[in-house]
Amino acid sequence: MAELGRRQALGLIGAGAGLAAMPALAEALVDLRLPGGNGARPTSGDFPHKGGMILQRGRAPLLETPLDALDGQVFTPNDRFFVRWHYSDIPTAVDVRSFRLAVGGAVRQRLSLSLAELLAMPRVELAAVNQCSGNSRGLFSPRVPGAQWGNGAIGNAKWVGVRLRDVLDRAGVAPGAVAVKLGGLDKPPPGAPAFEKSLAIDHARDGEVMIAYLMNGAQLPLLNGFPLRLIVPGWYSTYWIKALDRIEVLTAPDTGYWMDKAYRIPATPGASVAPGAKDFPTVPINKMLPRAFFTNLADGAKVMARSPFYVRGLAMGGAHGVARVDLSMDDGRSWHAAPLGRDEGRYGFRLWEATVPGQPAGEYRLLARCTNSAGQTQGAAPIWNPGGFMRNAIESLAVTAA
Amino acid sequence: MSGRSITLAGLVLFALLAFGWTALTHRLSPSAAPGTAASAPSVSGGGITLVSDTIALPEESAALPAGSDLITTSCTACHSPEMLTTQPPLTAEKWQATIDKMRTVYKAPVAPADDKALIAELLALPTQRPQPAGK
Repeated sequence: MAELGRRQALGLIGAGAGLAAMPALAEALVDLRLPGGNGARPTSGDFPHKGGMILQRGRAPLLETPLDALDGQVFTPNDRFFVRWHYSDIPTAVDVRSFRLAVGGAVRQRLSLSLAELLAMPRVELAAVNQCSGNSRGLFSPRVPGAQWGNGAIGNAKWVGVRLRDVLDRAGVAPGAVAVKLGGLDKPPPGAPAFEKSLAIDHARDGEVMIAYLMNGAQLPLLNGFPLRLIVPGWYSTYWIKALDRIEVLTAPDTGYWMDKAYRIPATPGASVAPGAKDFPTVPINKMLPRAFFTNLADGAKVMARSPFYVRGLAMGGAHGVARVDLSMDDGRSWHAAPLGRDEGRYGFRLWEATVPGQPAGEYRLLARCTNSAGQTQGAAPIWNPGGFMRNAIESLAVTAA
Repeated sequence: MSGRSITLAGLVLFALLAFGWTALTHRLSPSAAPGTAASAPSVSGGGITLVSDTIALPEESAALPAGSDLITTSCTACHSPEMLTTQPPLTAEKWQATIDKMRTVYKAPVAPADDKALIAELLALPTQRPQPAGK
């Protein structure tokens, strides 16, 4: 615990923005440096098809990716990809021969598609970041209830599958369709609403939303949604239904709990309201925003004075591609473009790196800011909303040159 | 003597070749699912094979302190205790709002008459104590 105390004390050097999870106590504990404390979490390598993960909750599993597991690569390994289930009754066995995807509702022809039938359909491939709506919720100030994630409820993968549009066209969408509701194999407790989400019909038919059966070239881990997962590029993970087994075309908007009551954000710019605000208009959470993360250095890093040091990380553009990543050492008065790695697709991660010129001995704060191709950029001031959704404030880390 | 050595060497060579061949063919046959038995049922199409999968979740490791009986009966049927112990310090009003949501939406087995005692147990969790200044 003494070790943890020291880490917590170190965390105070930076004002709040905890970055990479620092291993402590021989990998047994990490401290997510959440403002106000209680950020210590055990790590676990005990979950099936998973390597070392930050254990946020055992049942239903909430497993966070340590930020150092994201370092230096655009695609997040499947065995380090974050896990988030709402209900404890999750699928633990899938027989690929008997599994069926049901398509119903306002369609000309109801379908029950086997995996073999889906594998025979035209195939598409796409890199896309999957980020929990509540990623970084633990960094909100004032704090809010919910899963207390650091920055690691995020990952990027290359997804292969079929277009949702092609599946809908095979069933034949009936006139008057307005939305498409999607559900999976996880089951609610008796009397609770099934975890189902909806997309507007035009969004569902945009040719980008897909049903994936491969993740980084392999079938999905069961904990990430085997055998089929909905991929909604540029949108938060709440829509990326895992173990997708049913699609229903609706002729009226979805009034189910998970669209109408949960995962709602303030209908304000940046989804932000004054802390404690209530009774403001809301909309369902939707498109992601740009973010840049440091992955090779953690808050409180020490470098040699007057000696250049190397820093790198990952950036995402949200619903648009990454246009640029800029770094600042003077609290945002001046910004310097960081070279970007190869473009693997506008919805995916982009590597950025920089060699920072040697600095005189002293304390510094290094900032990284992403701007996307639509001109959206990150702000310095963190947003606040009671759900703890959509945090995308500029990340920074304390660096000591000595 | 030399004949027996040759026989022995031949046997060793055969064993090595057999082992090598088995190892080679094993390495060359890819399995899409890590850790899935090769005999598991599969479905193939267009060069992709999906293999049936079964997982076992690990034993729960988190525990609640003594005196958390109401928390145990009210909350942990649906989720393990970390959901409570990882929360930031919350006010009684915030805990009440959470209990209301759990009861209304998720049908948590909490009698309204127990709310006060349940909130007292939640507020008594060590992780609910405000962190000392400077921590």
